[in-house]
Amino acid sequence: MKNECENILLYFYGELEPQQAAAFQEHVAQCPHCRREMAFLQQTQQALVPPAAPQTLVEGVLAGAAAGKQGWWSRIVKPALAAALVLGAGVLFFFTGPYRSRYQDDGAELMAYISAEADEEYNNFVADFEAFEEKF
Amino acid sequence: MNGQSDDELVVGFQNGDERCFNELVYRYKNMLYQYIMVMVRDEGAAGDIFQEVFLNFYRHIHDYQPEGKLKSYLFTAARNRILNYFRDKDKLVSLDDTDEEGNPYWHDELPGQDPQPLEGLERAELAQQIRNASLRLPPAQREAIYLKQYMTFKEASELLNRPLGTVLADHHRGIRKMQKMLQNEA
Repeated sequence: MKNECENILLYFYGELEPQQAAAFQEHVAQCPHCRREMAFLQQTQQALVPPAAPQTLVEGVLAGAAAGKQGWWSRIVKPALAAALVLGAGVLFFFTGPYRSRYQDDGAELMAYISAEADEEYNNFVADFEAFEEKF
Repeated sequence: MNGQSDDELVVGFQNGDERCFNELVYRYKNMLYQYIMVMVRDEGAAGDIFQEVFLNFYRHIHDYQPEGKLKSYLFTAARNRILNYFRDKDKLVSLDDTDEEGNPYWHDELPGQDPQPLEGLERAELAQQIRNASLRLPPAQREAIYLKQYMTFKEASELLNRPLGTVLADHHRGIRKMQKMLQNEA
């Protein structure tokens, strides 16, 4: 590139001072190298126009922002309280709802069964022991 | 809202108008995504960085001083994340053609605009060739050429923290290389 061509980038992108730009314009009219260079810069500028960013990414940003807007109370405390409430209600329901009588009935049945079994075993044991004592 | 400046939108957003944030996202989404994409050349990473930049801006909106430099702020945030990405991946010194296994890790083709009705096939092909050639440039030249699409050389020089002459030279060298690549392909 000749020295007088070196301002071509600033000229092409409109970043020269007006006086310099006017002088360079005269140069371009005389310089086939600069004209070719400007044609390629024009093609490059058009080719590199940004395509649209993926819409899913943009929606992700907006959704993330909307979620962030809620603040710590909404994002942390409220869900934690809700979870604790649901858990507490579940436990309460288990011990006080329909399961309660079933649980208690089941327990009572079990205790009666164990007790009956134990009684039978105990009686057998006592009988065996008495027989043993009689024998000896 | 389209006619409002960046600073006006920032102030509106700082005062609680969410639509101002959305407008800023729509204003900068395409150029930021393209810049991140051509630098990291990985769709997943580019998407992550893109979202982080905007969400971080959202979270720290009240720390931001509207001084007419939102574009620089967003591009600087994106650039820092791009550098971190390569630091994490140990790729900072080898931002060239291949990954650790020697495979090309960038997209061979960068999507462009849909061809305009009046744009001939030849012109569309040339545009695609230019985009492909741009991806084969060394990072500094690629970055200078793409940043120039969105800002002045002076702004790019400040963003990159490099002298204006260096940015102009990188841009010029990149253009020359692309011309050579296209000549070799012809």
